[in-house]
Amino acid sequence: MAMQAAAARAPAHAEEGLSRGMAGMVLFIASEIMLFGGLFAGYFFVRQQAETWPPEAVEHELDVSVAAVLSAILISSSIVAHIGILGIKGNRRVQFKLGIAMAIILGTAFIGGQIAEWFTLMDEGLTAGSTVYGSSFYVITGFHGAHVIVGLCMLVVVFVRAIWNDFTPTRHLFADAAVLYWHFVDVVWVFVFTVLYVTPKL
Amino acid sequence: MATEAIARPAHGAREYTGLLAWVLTTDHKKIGIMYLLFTIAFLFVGGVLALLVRTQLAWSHTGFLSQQEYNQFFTMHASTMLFLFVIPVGAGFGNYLLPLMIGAKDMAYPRINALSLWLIPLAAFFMFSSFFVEGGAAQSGWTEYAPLTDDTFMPGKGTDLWILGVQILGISSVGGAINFLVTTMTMRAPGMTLSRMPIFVWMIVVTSVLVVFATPVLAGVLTMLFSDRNFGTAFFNPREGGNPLLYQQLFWFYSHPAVYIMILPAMGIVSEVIPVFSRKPLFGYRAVIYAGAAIGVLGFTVWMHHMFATGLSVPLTVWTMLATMMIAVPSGVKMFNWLGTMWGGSILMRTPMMFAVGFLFMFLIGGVDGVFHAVVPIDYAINDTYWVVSHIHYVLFGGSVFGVFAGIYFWFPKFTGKRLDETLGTVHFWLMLIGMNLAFMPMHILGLKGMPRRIADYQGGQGWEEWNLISTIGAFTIAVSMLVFIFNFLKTVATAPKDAGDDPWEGNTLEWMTSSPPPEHNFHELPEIHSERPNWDRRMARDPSMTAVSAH
Repeated sequence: MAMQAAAARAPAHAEEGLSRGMAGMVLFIASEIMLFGGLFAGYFFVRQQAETWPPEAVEHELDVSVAAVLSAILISSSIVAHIGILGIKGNRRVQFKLGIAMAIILGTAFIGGQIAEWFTLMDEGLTAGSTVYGSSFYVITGFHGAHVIVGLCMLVVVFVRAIWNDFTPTRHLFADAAVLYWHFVDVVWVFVFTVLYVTPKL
Repeated sequence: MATEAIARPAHGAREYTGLLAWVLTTDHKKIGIMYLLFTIAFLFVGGVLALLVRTQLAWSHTGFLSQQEYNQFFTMHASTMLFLFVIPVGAGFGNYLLPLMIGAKDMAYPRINALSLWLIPLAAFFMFSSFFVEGGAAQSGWTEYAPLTDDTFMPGKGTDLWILGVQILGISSVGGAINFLVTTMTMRAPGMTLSRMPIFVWMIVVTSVLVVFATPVLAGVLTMLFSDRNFGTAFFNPREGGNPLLYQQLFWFYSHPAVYIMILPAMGIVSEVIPVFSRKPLFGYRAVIYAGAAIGVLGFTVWMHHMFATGLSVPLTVWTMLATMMIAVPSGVKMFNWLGTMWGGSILMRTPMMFAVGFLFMFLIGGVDGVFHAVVPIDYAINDTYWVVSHIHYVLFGGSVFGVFAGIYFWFPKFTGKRLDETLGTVHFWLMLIGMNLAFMPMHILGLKGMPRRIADYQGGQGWEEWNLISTIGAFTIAVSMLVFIFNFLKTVATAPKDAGDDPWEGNTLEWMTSSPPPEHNFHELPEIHSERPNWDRRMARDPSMTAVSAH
């Protein structure tokens, strides 16, 4: 009877499988996948029905080489963020802080590059109204850029807390969640790069 | 006996009193009650808009409203009912009950929970303020199709405010859904395995999955619309390579699962009420869960049945027709499970049970209406007629609203410790049932006679006026029934004694094993859980003369 009562009082296992925080981040990322999914579905819908892509009226095509540089920057930022997480797991706090800091710097460089590309394209005449080619480009890259900025904010919070030594090798949930989100943002970019920039050239 | 279940006060929390205690709370029970108060208030607002619409249509050429007023009122009637009432009311019940039903002390993310709540009045503020801007409120139907909603044709800010409101509600919805899912995954009490969770919890889980996967697509398409209207993009503009059908595709990809988001919580409520008032376990517990999951999955595949008349390819049309008809199967399974629960049971016809049984009949009619629609050649004739209006109101009013009232009468004693008056509840039920059928049954006939939906006025002499008049009388009858409910509610809150006790209905699930209302941390002592009916098990242990129930 006492054992039964003790079993009834035992704490519920919350840590098997995903922790509460990670489960929330995974579901949030699932919802974001559907958000980009809808935007890409729209892109495929209008591209499939167009006679040429880009359409006749669009003079300036997207520059793959610029986008390739941006891809390299963002992928590197994911790599260094991961190196940072390996750092905190192994109690190498300098590696952790450097990894996160590098990810922030590279992510900021990505945003800078994206904005510069936008201004260049607008100067050359590709605007949001330049047929649905322009519309989908700016809305998709714009949504992506907004998510990069959200990810950067989270990484900044991780960095500040890392400076405060808030994290331990076994307790760094927010860092894990933020870096997971960062990887997600990177994967979305790979899709953006491949679909918007590369496939029209094929 | 102190247990793990006693919560420490939330980190950094101070004791607030009075109004501030409610505004600043992160307690799921207070948040749940506020959800219910807000959403029921919006039910009434939407109802008033419906009365305005029905008054205009009561006869041909009533001249009660201008066309522009009519368009705003019917658009906002539906938008209010769907986005501000029926979708969030499920979250309201879920908020209060889900943690209790799984033996948790709160939701996984209490502060995000509070945010989800307060986004609702914020969204409502934006949507209703649209009545006062130039051009008036959104007026292109709750579906707001492009290109009618392009800024060329709808230049005022009303549509933009509508979009803003719906986007905010989407954030509220997804936040709540993630909360429900993480809570269910990680905070169940010891012994509360997945196969012992109440059906209501399962239905909230399926609903939450739908919300997480469908709502962002709406966010995407409404952003495209906002962008076309305000930033010169061309998503729905054929001259620039866009396509109005893209709007419909993406809109319905969300809005079809949305209707299951609207009905599954009500089905969950009915699945809790019927066993209690039949004094019998739910027939086919697992089948009901699988049927709910099947409805959720299939629900993602049928959105094009809203677009049969747009020139879809034959393969798409055929698949959609078959899948739509298939959804009737799991719904039918549930129907038989509910009936099987009642069969051979000892039926107690209290108010919650009346609404639950009413749900069975009314949802059945609405569901069969839907099967008619699924058949494409028939849909060509009846789409965009009043047949659709009849179908949607039988499933949403006869289904969701009846389910909501079953839940209100059932759990009101748990929320407040007081019992609503049974006689007034009975009057409410019968007036609402009669009113509903007067209002919506004639719409079948109107649809078959060719009356299109969304028209502000119609010519006389087509045999439409008589049915429209009956429908309007039904609408006002529903309104009277709501007044009866409001009177019952206010009278009970003001004067009824707090004597309901823990378990006034002899319920089955965990919420009936704590006080009414529950303490802040929900359970002084977590009960032992060996089946999906822990309260029944405890009553049986106390009184061995009761029929044994197989625990699993």
